[in-house]
Amino acid sequence: MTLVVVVAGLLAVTLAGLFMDSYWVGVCSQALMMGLAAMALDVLVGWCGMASLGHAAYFGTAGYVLAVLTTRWGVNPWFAALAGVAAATFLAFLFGPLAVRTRGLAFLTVTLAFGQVIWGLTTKWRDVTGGSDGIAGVPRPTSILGLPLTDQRAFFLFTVVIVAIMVLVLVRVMRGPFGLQLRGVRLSELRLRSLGYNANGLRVAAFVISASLVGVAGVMFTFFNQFVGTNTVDWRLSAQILLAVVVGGPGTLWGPFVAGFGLFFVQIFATDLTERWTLILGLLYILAVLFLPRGIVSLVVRRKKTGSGVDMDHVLEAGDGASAAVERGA
Amino acid sequence: MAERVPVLEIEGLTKTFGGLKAVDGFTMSVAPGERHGILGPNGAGKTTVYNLVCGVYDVTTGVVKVKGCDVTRTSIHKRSQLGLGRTFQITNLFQEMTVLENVLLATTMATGESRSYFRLVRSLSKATEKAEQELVDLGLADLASIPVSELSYGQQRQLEVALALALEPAVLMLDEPTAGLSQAETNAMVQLIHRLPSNLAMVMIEHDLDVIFGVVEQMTVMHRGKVICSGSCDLVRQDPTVSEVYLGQSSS
Repeated sequence: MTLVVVVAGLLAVTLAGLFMDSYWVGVCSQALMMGLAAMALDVLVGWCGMASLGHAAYFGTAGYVLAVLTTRWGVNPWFAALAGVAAATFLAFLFGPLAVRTRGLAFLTVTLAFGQVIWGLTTKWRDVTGGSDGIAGVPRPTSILGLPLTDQRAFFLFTVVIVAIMVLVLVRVMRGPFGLQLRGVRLSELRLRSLGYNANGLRVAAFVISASLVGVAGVMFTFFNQFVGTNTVDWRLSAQILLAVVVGGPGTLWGPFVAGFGLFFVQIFATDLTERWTLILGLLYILAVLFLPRGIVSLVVRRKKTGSGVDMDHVLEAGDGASAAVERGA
Repeated sequence: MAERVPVLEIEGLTKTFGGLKAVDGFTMSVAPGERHGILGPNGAGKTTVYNLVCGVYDVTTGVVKVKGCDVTRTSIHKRSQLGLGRTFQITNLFQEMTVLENVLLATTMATGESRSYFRLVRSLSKATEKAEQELVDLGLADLASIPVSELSYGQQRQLEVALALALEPAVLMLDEPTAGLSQAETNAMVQLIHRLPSNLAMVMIEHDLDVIFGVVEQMTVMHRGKVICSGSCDLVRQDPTVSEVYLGQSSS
């Protein structure tokens, strides 16, 4: 199901992209990256029941590492891109083991705090990051397989391919034992540990996988804009990705992808109307929570009783549930 | 010598919560294939002993050994991997998952397929076969694809045992498996326990005296955190202290 929808969706977007003018092709490229980022966050939110409000840190770190390496040290863009994703992954290895010790709202707060540390570093460490000016002139790789990536349409196709690969790998892994184990972490941690699984290890693994995929999105985003600024490490970006997961339907992967993709268009239209476009975002959030507690997926699929899909209430209450389970054992 | 090493040894286990000694010097040994019951009134500390043995609580003092291996400071999942399989007094299953998925989490652990990260769940053939066999044995095969939350309470209690059993543990630790069951369901559970492989050691907390005397050979009786009597079923039946604190209450 997930696979069919995602493949069909990507094909449709690709076809549409080929007939649009270069501005909208660019919007589509970025929207795909946001879809990927939201899908990556869903691994944490929907599968493990951990709502992170700090994923911009990994998005931005990947972008900044790419930008610094290429513009200041003249590193080849391909290697710099790999280094960017590696940096996001490394950062997740640093923050993840600390963050996963908390649950529910505490996890949300801790991830937000870590995100703000990265934001603080980027805005204050002007020598390296350019502060609020950001870093301009990030070069794209010149070409891949004969496709000139400086061309907007070619870059779009490149984005489609990269995003498709990431999505396929992620969906595959989440439909295997790892996905089953993560659902186990969310549903009953004590039982899962009693079956011999290292629940915190699984949480860290999910955190790192999620962060590195967000890093891929960050690298692509920086390549696209050939610029990186503090908006990529801003907590509002974290909120936007988290919102996409909530609106899309946590635990379904494709729901958050579609919502992440769609919300970028909302952002484009809304910024035309008002500077305070986050107002519209907030309104959408309220509407989604009120009318679609399981996300836009509930519009499309009649919910299977067993299937994935998570109420956000449960995500934020997860901490209480886990500790209560331990206490009940007494 | 190796074959008579106890699968589970507990020595001088003590746990204090604040000023309360919930478990006080608990000692018990379970030989391979032994069926051992833990008896005691409410609040005697039986489930606390389980939580200490399985690593849910930190031990205040005392030693826990599994197959001769000191696990007193080992994490829950490592103890499980070493051969401790437990069930929970209050049903603790993955409610939103299907019955099969629940058992698969246990059987993939037993077959090592839990680390086949790039295979789909449905193509984990060894674990699936084992899980399906397990469900046939339980008579739950027809319900494999429905969510656990739709099972009856009795079926959920059976699945509780099935999950621990599917790990192929060295010691199966049951925590009041028949609590809240009807007479028919209790009989089914007792049947299930009688069918356990004879080389599997089993420890069982149970309030129902008919049930416990029917399935165990050795017994440890607890009262206020302490062991007041330990030995064969006959010995425990005849012990005056036991009838005073426990048997006396329920039979008089």
